[in-house]
Amino acid sequence: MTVDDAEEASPYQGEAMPVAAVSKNAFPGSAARARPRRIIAVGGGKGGIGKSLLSANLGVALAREGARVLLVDGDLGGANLHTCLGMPPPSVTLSDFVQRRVATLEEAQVSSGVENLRVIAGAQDVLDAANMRYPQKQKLIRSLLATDVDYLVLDLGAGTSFNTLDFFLVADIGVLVLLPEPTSVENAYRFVKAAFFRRLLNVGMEMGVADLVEDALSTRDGNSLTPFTFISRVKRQNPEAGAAMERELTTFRVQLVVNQVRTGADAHVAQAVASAWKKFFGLEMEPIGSIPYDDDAWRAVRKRRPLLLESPDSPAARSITEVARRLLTLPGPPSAGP
Amino acid sequence: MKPYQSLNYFELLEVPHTATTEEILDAHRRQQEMYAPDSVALYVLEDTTQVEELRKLLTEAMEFLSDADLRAEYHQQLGLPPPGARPEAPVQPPASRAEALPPPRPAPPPPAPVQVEEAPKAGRESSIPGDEGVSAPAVRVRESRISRVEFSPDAEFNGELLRRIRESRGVSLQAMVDRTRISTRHLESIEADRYKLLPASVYLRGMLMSVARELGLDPARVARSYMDLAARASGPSSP
Repeated sequence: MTVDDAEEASPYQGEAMPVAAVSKNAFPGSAARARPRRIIAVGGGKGGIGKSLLSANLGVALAREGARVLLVDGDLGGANLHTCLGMPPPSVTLSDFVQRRVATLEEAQVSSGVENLRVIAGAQDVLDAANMRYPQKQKLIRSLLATDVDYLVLDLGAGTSFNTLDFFLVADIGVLVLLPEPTSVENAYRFVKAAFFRRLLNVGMEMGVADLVEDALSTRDGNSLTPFTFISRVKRQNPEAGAAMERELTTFRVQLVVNQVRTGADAHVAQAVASAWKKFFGLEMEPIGSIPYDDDAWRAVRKRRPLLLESPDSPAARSITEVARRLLTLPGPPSAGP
Repeated sequence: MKPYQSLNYFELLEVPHTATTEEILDAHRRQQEMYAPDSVALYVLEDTTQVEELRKLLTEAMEFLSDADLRAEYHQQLGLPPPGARPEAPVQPPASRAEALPPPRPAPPPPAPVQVEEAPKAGRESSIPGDEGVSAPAVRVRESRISRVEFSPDAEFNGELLRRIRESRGVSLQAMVDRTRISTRHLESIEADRYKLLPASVYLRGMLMSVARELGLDPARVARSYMDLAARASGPSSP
């Protein structure tokens, strides 16, 4: 059993507080500090749905728009972002920073070969970063938040481990990737719900109802709760806490990208998910793109070249560029200037 | 934070208050497709009866908002400027109040052309092959002006009328295919009154009843009426 698994079993084990709570409040004057203008996290709950492919190519697209971009492989234990970029196995990785073999995140960065785009490769050794302990995670997140670039793109791993959820929650822009298939939709929902409940844990602790959130996270009954049903339950017991959680729900926003779209019906999946999850669960999803299934994308991966460089005119590459442009127009965090 | 049960008609259809009737019908068509029973987006819903309920609400929303009189009344209830008024200062519905109260759902509308109203959906599974087990419920006639397609109480339900009713409900042919599990080819033949291409009457009857149920019409009456027309057209032996 890894530390991560232990964390899953009990929200508190090994952690006094979810990282999101600390990090969001850690830099009250953050507008004045060096920090990324935007942190974009790319998650999706399921493996093999194109998170790394999207992250790598978003990085390329944003860099080509003139932004200074740092791509970070946050897939702790299954890192392969460097492969999507056609880079050789990196000499220095995220785990060198986590294990203090290098002192700063700067030293863990390598060039991607694309102008304006630097990369922090993921841990090659499964045991290191995947089992990152709480203080290490704190330090990593603080360092990421203090990186002086225009865009920090975090490629997240599969699953709903606390490390992954916390990286998703510190981002200014959370991008959820899903495929138009039941398994992917299921995992995506689990992922978003877990992230939201993780965020509620902060409110729960502030309002003295952490136990309610914990129950929802750890019991079978809690498993079937939607954000709506959970919050109405809290409201009955503690109207004030319920209202605070309701505010969290209205500000919790996830950008949705549907990948490997094959049919006309698939193209509407993003809209349908956004509509249904809002009406049934209260989750605000913003569809920002559908990426067609494209043999060029597959060939680019086989060639270990970023799609945007290998086949820039392919339908998938064009869609990813559009997603990048959408991301460029999204409003940033309230604390940071434009 | 509003679950679908407490959304107003505009929010349900995801249209602005200024939407034209055409936009409302369009939105309804889109929503019906999104909430088709096999939609992958709905895969994570534990309670699928909610989807059914939402689909009914969407149709109700479309029916009210596409009727000029009902819509004007509804605007009044929500405190909106009358429909069609040039919005100089667009009035937002007061969000906090809308949240506290259930959404204003209009009271039963005033009387209008008589229309045969919906029959219970029982026996849906068994309705396609020989439907003798499905006893036709007594025709319940209710005063309503839900449908924009008007027809007299003794109207003959030919394919043309069925198509017009379907379209007035914002149900696409594909949505009808999805819901009734009748093939596109058969549905098209039914609506085009291509009697020769239709399946044997025992199957046809089941199909007609399914279609009628989806349209909120009396299944037995629709089937009888349509099959009378078909019989008259194909032979001189009229009833």
